[in-house]
Amino acid sequence: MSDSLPSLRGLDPWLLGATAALVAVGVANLHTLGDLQPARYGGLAVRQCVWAAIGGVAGLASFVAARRDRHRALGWVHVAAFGAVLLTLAGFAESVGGVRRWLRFGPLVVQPSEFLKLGVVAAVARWFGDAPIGTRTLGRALLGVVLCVVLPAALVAAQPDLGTGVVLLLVGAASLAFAPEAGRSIPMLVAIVATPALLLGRTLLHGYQLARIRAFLDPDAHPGGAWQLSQALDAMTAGRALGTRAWLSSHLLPGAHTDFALVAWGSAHGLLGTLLVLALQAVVAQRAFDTASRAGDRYDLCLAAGVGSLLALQVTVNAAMAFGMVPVVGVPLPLVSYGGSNLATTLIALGAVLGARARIVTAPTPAGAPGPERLYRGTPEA
Amino acid sequence: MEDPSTLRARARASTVALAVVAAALAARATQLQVARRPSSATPAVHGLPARPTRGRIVDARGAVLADNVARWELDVSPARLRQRRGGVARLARVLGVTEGSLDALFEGRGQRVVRVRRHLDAAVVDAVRRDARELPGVWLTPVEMRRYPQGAITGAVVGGMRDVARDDAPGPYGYRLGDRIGLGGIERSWDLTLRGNSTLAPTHQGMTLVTHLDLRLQRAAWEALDGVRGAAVALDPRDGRVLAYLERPSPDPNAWEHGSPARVGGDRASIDVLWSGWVIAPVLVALARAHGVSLDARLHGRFYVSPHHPRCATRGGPRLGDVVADDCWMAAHALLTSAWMDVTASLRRVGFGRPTGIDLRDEPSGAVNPPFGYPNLYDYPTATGGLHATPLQVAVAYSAIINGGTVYQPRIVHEVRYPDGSLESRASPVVADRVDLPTGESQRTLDSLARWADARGTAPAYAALPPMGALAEEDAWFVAVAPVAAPRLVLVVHAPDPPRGAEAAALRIVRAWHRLSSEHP
Repeated sequence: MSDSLPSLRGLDPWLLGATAALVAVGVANLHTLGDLQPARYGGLAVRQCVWAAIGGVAGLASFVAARRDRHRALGWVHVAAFGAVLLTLAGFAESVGGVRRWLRFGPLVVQPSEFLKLGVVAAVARWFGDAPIGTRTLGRALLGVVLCVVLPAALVAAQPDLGTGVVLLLVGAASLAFAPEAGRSIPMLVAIVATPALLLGRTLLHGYQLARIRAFLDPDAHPGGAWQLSQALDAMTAGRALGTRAWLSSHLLPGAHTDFALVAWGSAHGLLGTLLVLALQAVVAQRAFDTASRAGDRYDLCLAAGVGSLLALQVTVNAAMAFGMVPVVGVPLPLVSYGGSNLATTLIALGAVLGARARIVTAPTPAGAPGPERLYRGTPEA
Repeated sequence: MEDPSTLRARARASTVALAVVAAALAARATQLQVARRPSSATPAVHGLPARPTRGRIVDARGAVLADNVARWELDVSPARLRQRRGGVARLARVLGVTEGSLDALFEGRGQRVVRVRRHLDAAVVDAVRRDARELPGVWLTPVEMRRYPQGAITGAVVGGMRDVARDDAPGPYGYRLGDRIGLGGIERSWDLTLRGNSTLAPTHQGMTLVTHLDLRLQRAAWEALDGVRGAAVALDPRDGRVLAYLERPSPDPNAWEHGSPARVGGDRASIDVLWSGWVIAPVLVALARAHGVSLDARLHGRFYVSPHHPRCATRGGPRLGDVVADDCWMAAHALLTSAWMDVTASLRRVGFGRPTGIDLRDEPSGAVNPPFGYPNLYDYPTATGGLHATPLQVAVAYSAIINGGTVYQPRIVHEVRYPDGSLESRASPVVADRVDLPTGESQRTLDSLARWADARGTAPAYAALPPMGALAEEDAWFVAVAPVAAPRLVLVVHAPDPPRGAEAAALRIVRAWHRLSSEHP
């Protein structure tokens, strides 16, 4: 085989299989919705397939790059997504009613904040995971926390998209937990975020966000706000163990293709379908964490664990929201919810994890090598 | 500093945490899908709207420009309806149609939902509700219909609604086939806010838009333009608030509820027009003053002088300070070009040749084309043909030269409010540019306009005008500024058909504005 072709040796079948299965679940879910309610959801499955193809190519490129060496180029995702968010705020995005989240590139409409999720993970890995020991000063750590996490989250919140801004903060904190300077970078992040939050309090929240929280806490007093959640719970319950299409064919569930994709799937395929999706998501995140635990390199460790955290956080928040355990927030279910930006971002991230894992497990170990620490290139721990 | 083994152990620990969270979610899913009892009966009637209620649009005094009325849609799942013996026949009776026609409609649809009726009347809704138990798989969904109490009067500025087109959906704004979305005016430009501000917040009710529009002035302008083809825009020159914005004829958006017109047709108030002549003279003189040209500057050389303006040819050319009052609009341009002033750039500064930035989408930019700077004044009418402007741009430019040189972005929407009335956001005046006018130039311009209007005296109506307003007129255009002492209104009327229709309409509108201001200051 030519050296120019990517080697598939070391490819993790579990991670690859679970990813492919989840993408298929997402497309099948959209197909079901389109079949039952064509006026609302018709054609979405085809569009999702197109995005899956685009994301698949991008993910393959990411895999190839990570398979050869540490995928430092991912750091540019942060720069590009950060720049794109700035463009949306500068008015280059179409502004409707003060909301500027999307950039249009011909037929493609992209939400830069989705790419920024991966960007935050990559930036933390690059800034903290790649830093030589001699350069790890307090000031550099503070600068890293601000540039990699706080500033992107603040810009996204200003779009305004507070939900994604909070997710970025959580993802940033989770990524920092796996970085060498977690002991001081996480307290820094907490201090930077908590200060304005405590000072400004509820003024940070829009009225509709407060309304969701009130509806969650007291659904009887806010029947309108709790209606979507009550529909979601009814849909889940109607699915029973094996699922039914009857509920979806005769009821309306706002966001069935996006934030409540898991509910729509669970209603149509029952508890077995729900557990299948949760299990597949758990496999994907677990393989990312497992890759991190095998990494012989701080950058790989930080990146893989960050991707695992990113996926686990989104799945947890989305499922908890769909199951009525937390108030409704706008977080999609990775690989399943309709939306090209999120799908492509997730596939790129998983391509990087797959590539890093393949490189790690196929790396030759010379006789007498001291163990994984030898791979800490040039910057051995004291 | 954490060592590598600590970080790897942390990654392994995350797997355990992941398992715990997954188990908790699985337990909750099991509780929902196995232990929880499903709803005992599927309600035939949905009690809440299927999609957020679209926000209202009101004027500055709270008068409703657009709101919603409830209607019902009837959808049927044929497979479920047929589970009940005689279900189709009963539904046919309720709807007043034959059973065969429903069978034909349901043919081959299986479990797919079929929309049987839109915009049901109350009697049918009551009948379906009465027979709900006998009509499984039949449900009513309340939908809103948009209502425009002012009809065509606000049609051009408020816009209307249309069915979403295939090109619109699905877009980043959550449009889906079957949705109704804004068409033209505020409805289109603020569609997302009116729909609920977020595709990720489907339960979020639409926002109410409080505009700067004054419905009383809008109505007065509408009546003043009766029998005229034209448009009128009224601004507050102090901050760019749009007080009225209309055109005639204008479509009634209430008529669009049952269809989707190809376009609004109601954008004449912002359409490009060929425009030249006297109306621009005060603007040009003010720009010359900003450029440092003295009021005593005179044009030397040959230039075209209309026989209707003999005073302009006296003493070797008009003085800049007398251009407006003496009706010598050609000289204004000549002075600017002789002063080597970049007329094109100067006109852009006050809002010509570019969008004004009003909060309505697809605003035309007009054009200040090079021919406008053409120095051959013998060919002046041709030279002026390069300026294309909109009534809104004229109003913005006049506002700038009479408020001291501040070019404001015109704004229609003042506040965005939640359905409960609490404030979400409020627009502040936005300064687009500043022109450095000499001190007192604004008042001098107003005085010149008043002198011109006073001296004109061709119609008895003008006699009363100078104390309350200053005017500028050119064929199809008429600009009124009021009051002279402290302007709060810039009114631009463009009415090419019939000739001089703008003049009479503007006078009526200004009088109405004075009356309204005195009644409700």
